[in-house]
Amino acid sequence: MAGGNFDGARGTCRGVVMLTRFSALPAALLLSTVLGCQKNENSDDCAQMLSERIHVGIPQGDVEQFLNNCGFTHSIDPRTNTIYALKRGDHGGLVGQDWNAQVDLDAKQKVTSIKVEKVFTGP
Amino acid sequence: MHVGYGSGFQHLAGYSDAQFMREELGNCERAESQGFDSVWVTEHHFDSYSLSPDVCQLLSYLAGKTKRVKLGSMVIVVPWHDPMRLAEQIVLLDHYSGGRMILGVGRGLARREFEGLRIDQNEGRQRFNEYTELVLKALETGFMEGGETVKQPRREIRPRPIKSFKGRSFAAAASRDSVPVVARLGLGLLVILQKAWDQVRADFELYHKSWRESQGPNVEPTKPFCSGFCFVDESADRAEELARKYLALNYREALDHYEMFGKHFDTTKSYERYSDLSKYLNSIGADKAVDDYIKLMPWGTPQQVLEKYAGMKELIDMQGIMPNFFFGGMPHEESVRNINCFVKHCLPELKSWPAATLTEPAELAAV
Repeated sequence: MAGGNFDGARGTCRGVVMLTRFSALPAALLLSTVLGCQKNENSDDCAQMLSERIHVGIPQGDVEQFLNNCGFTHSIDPRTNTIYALKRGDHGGLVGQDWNAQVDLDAKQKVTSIKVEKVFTGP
Repeated sequence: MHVGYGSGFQHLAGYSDAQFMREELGNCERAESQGFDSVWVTEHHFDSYSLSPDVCQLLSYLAGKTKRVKLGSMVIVVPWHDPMRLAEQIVLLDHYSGGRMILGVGRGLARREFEGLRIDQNEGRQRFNEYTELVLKALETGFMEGGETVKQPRREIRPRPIKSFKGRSFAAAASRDSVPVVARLGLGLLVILQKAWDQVRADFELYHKSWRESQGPNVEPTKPFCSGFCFVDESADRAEELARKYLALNYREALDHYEMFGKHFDTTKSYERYSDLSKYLNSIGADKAVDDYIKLMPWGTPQQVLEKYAGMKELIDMQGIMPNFFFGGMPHEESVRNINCFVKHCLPELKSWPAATLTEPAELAAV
């Protein structure tokens, strides 16, 4: 999935919003916006985007591309057809803030459910 | 195959313990979100080799921070504990976690730990055998009574155990003398990578023979778990350079922690096997010992790591692994990269391998 598939009107990843408004920008800018999304310090945006864009019925490949674009580390458990994903957040203090996603797939590798949540690590 | 996240909480980098604990606790907590099946921690005391002095307390913390992963001890050193208190702590952890504990026990080796805990190391074997039997029985029956030396008056375990520990109890048997004991107790083997593979194979032959003699020919032994230290990088050169660096630091710390070049094993009852090992290590020297140790470990590119694990699976048919990723004084950022690389490139493949599955613990009768 290319970065241009993001729906900027939904106001999700800021770099992607810019991309959709100026669709004539060169490929280099596309790459930079995707990378910008990956490194976006506003993790809430990407997590919000995941919740909105990953929905029941979309294929595994698209899910993984969304997760990659938003800087999640992820892996599929082939025993249960579940994708586990983690995006590490702020670790400056005693408590860290991450984003977790868990995506369940059916036998055709299509999404059956998704859970995205903000979690705090630390005491 | 089951794939867990192992941690010895080894802190060799010199910065504050507080910062290190935050970092490695964070890694442990995140293991669930990253798709690991379990989190395993060790028990050690008094030095940088491992900042993990209380397994049940640490796993109780993780029980509260996680929902799915199993919680393993690799290992609780039984001779260092009062058996009654230990049984209570294990049962309490099982309540906190909804029966997610995997019990791993061991005998202990380091003189400094026995001395620091004011326990005579000469009693290590006897304590391990007696206490482990008492604890295992208590976990099934809900009470503890007897023991040759502790003479525990009958007392109930409250709260009562909720689920059986049969099929989810293991023991490390670094010494060959421990292998028949582990089989007799009905425990699976926890393989802690440190011996040459021909010795491991011989240990398994002894284990299976002892198992058949003690448990009967119709009871299948529990498949083992295998620990170790993993370093994976997409660059083969970087993987080799840094694996060698951090594994060497890790093992030199272990040699020091266990005083493996000392002569005290000669005069410590039931640790004679370690006396032989110590003599062997003295004969080859630290550098060769470190080199041999590094060869045992899974490191390299993702493909190399998978090949290493495939070789281990061929040899010991383990049901699961729980590699350590943060060791040898590596920076925390390196541990995160190491974990992420493993998760991305190795974890799905390893999980797809056919293997025995951990027994789902049976509910115990409510009283």
